[in-house]
Amino acid sequence: MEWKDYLLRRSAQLLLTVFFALIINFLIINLAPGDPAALMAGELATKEYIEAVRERWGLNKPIPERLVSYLLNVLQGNLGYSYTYLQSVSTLIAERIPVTLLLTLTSSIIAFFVGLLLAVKTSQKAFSKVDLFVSNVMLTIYSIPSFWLGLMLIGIFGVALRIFPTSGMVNVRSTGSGVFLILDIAYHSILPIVTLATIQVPIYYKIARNTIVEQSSEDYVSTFLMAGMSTSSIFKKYVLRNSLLPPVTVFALHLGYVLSGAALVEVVFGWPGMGRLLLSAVYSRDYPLIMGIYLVTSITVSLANFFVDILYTLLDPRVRYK
Amino acid sequence: MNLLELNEISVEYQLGKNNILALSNVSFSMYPKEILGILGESGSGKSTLALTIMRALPKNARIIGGEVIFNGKNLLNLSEDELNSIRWKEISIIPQNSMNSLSPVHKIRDQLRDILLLHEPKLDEKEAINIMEEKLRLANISEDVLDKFPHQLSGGMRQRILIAASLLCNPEIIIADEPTTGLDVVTQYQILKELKNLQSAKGFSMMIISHDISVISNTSHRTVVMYGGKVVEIGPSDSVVGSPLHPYTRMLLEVQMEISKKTQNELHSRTNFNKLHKSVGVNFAHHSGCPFVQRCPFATEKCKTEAPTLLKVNNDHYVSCFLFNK
Amino acid sequence: MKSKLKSDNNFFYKYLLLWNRFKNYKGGLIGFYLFLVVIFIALFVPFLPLCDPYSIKFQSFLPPSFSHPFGTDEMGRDIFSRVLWGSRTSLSVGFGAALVSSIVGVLFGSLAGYVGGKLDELLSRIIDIFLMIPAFFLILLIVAIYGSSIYYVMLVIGLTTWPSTARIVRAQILSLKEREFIYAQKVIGSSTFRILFVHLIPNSIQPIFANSILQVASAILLEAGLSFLGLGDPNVVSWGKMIYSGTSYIFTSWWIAFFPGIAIVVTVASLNLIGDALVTILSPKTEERGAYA
Repeated sequence: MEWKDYLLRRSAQLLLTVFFALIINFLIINLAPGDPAALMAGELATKEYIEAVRERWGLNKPIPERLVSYLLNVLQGNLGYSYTYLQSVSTLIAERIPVTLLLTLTSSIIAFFVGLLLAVKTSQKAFSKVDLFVSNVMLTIYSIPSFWLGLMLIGIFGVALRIFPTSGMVNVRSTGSGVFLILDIAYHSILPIVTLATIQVPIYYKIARNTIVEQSSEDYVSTFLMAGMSTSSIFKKYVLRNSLLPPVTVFALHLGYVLSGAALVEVVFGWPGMGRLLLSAVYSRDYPLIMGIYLVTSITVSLANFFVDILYTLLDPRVRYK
Repeated sequence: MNLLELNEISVEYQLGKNNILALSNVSFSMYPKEILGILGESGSGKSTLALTIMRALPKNARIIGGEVIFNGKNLLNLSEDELNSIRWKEISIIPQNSMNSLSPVHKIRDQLRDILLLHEPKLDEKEAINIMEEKLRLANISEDVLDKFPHQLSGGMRQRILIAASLLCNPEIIIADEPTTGLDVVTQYQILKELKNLQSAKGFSMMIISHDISVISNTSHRTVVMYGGKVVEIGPSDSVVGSPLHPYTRMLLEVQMEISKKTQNELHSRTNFNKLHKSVGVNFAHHSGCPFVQRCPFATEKCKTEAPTLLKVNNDHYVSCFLFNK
Repeated sequence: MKSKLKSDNNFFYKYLLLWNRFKNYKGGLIGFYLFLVVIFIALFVPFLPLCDPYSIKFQSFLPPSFSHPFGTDEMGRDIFSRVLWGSRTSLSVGFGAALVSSIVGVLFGSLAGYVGGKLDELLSRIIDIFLMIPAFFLILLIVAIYGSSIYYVMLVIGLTTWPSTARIVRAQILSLKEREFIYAQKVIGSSTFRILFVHLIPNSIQPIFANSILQVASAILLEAGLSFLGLGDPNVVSWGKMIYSGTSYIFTSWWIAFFPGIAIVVTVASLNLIGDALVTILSPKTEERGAYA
C-alpha cells in the first residue's frame, strides 16, 4: 500500500524531471547566439527557406508560444527533421540506438562482473599487499582516456598483430547477411567493447571492494563469529548480500549513460552510434538533430535514476518495509 | 567446584607499532548456577574478556599468557573442532546490541536458523522452527518476529532476539555483554528482570558485563571489578557494593550511588577531589605497578612500581590494593 | 576537548598530522611525487632547453630518437616539447574547472545545508536535475554553440561538475550546524555570514579537498576528450588534440598519438592516487583500524 504511494510519487517526479529536461533543452538551443531559424535552416539555405523554417517552427512567435508548439510536437513523436541527413530525427535516432546499446550494455555488464569478481578476490585480505596493489592498478586504469586506449588497442591488435579489424562496425567490402552479418559485427565489436569495459572495471571494483571492506567490520560479522560461523561462510552468506546494493546501484545509474557514454570510442572505432551522430550534428550545427539526441539522452538518464530508486525499494529491506 | 576458571589471563593488541596490554593476569572463577557481574568502564578490558572466553578475538590480538579452564579442559588449547562442540552448546554470548548486531538484509528466521544449524546440523526445518519459537517465547518476544527484518524492531526486541539466540543450544554459561545499552530505563528494567528469571528457571550460569553499577548490583550474586585490564576487587555483590574496599570501587560508588555520610566524610578528608573526578582518559593496562595509580587518592611510590595482588579480606571478598596489606 | 575552531597553530599542526598519515599510503606517495614532477614541468617548461613547440622546421614523421625523444609529428614539430608544454593546458583547465566547481559547490551546498527548509529542497532539486544531465554531452553542446576558448572550457566543466561538491558540503554543514560551538556563536550574536564563512565552511574543507583533487583529474580527462573531438581551444598545445592528429597515422607513426596519451595517464593517475589516498584517510570507516598508527 505504501509502496504504491511511493511508486506514484516517484513516477510523478520522473515526469516532472523529463518536463524540465525538455525545457532546458529548448532554452539552451533557443538562447544561443544568432538567428535560430537561420541556424536550423542550415548554412546553404536561401532567404525563402529560412522564412519557411521560421513559419514552420513558429520561430517568429514569442518564446512561450514556441515552447508550447515544441512540446506538442515532441508529444506526437515528432522530433524534427535533420537537414544534414535529410531524414526525420526520430528515424535517425532509432537507427543508432541499438548500435550504441550493443557497445555500452555489453561492456557495462562485463565490467560489472569482472569488477565484482576482482573485488571479492582481493577484499577478503583487505589492505594486504595484493589488495593495495590491485587498487592502485585500478586507479591507474581509471586514468586512461578511453579514446587513447581504443587507439592503442587498434595499433597493437589491429595493425601490429593483425588480429582484429581496425575500424568500422562491419567489413564494408562484404555483403553477408544473417548469421554472417552477426558474426561480422561481433568480430568488429570486440576491441571497442574491450576498451569500454576496461575503463569501467575500476568503477565497479572500487565500489564493491570498499563496500565489502566496510561491511566486514560491521557488528553482525562479530555476532556470527562469536556464534562460531567460519569467516568464509559469513562472507558468502552475509557480507556479500549486504554488499550487493551499492554496485548494483552504480550499475543502474550507469545505464543512464548508456546512450552517451561511448561517444569517444564510437569515434575512434568508426561505429555509427548515438555519440557519432551527436558529434556530426554539433559540427554541422544541425539543431533539430542536436535537440532530439539531447532530449532522448536526458530521458534515458531520468529513467535510469527512476529505475534505481525503484530497485532500491525492492532490494533493500530497510527501505521496503518502513 | 568451579564451572569456569580464568587463571592469569593476559591479552595484548597490536596497534601499528605499539602493543597495548588489554588484560593483565586476570584470574577469577565462575560457579554453577550463579550470576557473576563484571563491572568496569571502557578500556578496563571487560569486552576483551568476553572475546577471549569465546575465542573470538580479532586478528591483531594475542593471548600472551594464562588459561581458561572449562570442564577440566583449557579452552585456549582446543582445536577448532573441539571448540565447535563447546561454542554455543556449552558457552554462548549475548553480544552488545547495536543497529547492526544482526544482518539488516536477512530475516530474523534465517539468521537464527543459521546459528542453530551451525551447531545442530541434523535438524530438519520443522524441528528448527520449533526450537527457535520456544526460545523466543522464553525471551518474552512474539514468534512473529521471525518474518521481520531487524530494522523493523525496537531496540528492546532486538535485545530479546539476541537473548533467544544465546539460548538456542541450552548452554551452561551465557555471557551477556552490556545487555542494557541503548535501551530506555523501563526496558532496561524489564530485560534485567527477564534475564534473572531465565537464569533461575533454567539453571545456567550468567556473566553480566556492564559499566553500570546498578545493572550489576541488581542482578549479580557476585561481582568482579575491573580496572585497566586487571581485577581489582571480587566478592559477593552485597559486600562489594555495600562496603567497597578498592579506592576505584569506592569512587565508582560515590559517583553512581548514594553512600553513607560517614564514608563520604572519610573520603573527603583524605582526598584530592580534582584527582578523583578527572575526566577519563584511555586507561590502558600497565606492565608494572597498579593500573589505578594515576587517579588514586591514596597512591604511594610503591604503587607505581609494584602491582598488588588479590588478597582475601573477608569471607570470599578479595581486593587488590596495598592499603590492605596487613 | 579543544574546540575545532580554526586558528593559526591548529592549521599547520593538522597538516603535519595529515602528512604523517599520508606517508603510509604507498600509492598516494607515488602519486604525490609523480605529480610534483608534472607540476615542475608545467611551471618551468619555458626555462627548459626544448625545441619550440610550434616550430615546424623539423622533418615530419621522425621516429623517437636521441635528438627527438618522442619523435616529430605530421607537421614536423618536436613531440617531446609539445608534450611538456601541453601540461600547462591540462593543469590549468584541471585546476580552473575544479576551482569553479568548488566555489559554486561550496556556495550552493552551504546555503542548502545551513538555511535548510524550502531553500534546501529547491537546491537539492536543482542538484538532482544537474546530475541528470549527461555532463559530457552538455559540455559538448555548450562549447560547440557558445565558444571554445580555454577559459570557457574551464568554466563549463566547472559549472557541470559542481553538484558533487555541493552534496559533500551540504552533508558536512548539516552535521556541523548542530554542534555546540555553532550554537555558542549564535548566542553571542554572530551574523549568518560570519558563522558560515568563518566557522562552518573552513571546518568542512577537508572532505572537499580530497574530492577536488579527484575533480581536477576528471576535468583533465574531459578536456582531453573535448580537444580530441576538435572542440578545445585551438590556440594552445593540448594532449587531446595531439592524439587526434596522431589517429590518422596510427598505422605508420604510432608515436604521435602514443606519448601524449602516456602524459595524460601519468598526470591523471598521479592525481587520482593522491585523491584516493586522501579520501581513505579522511573517511574513518574505510581506513583499517590499527594498521596505521
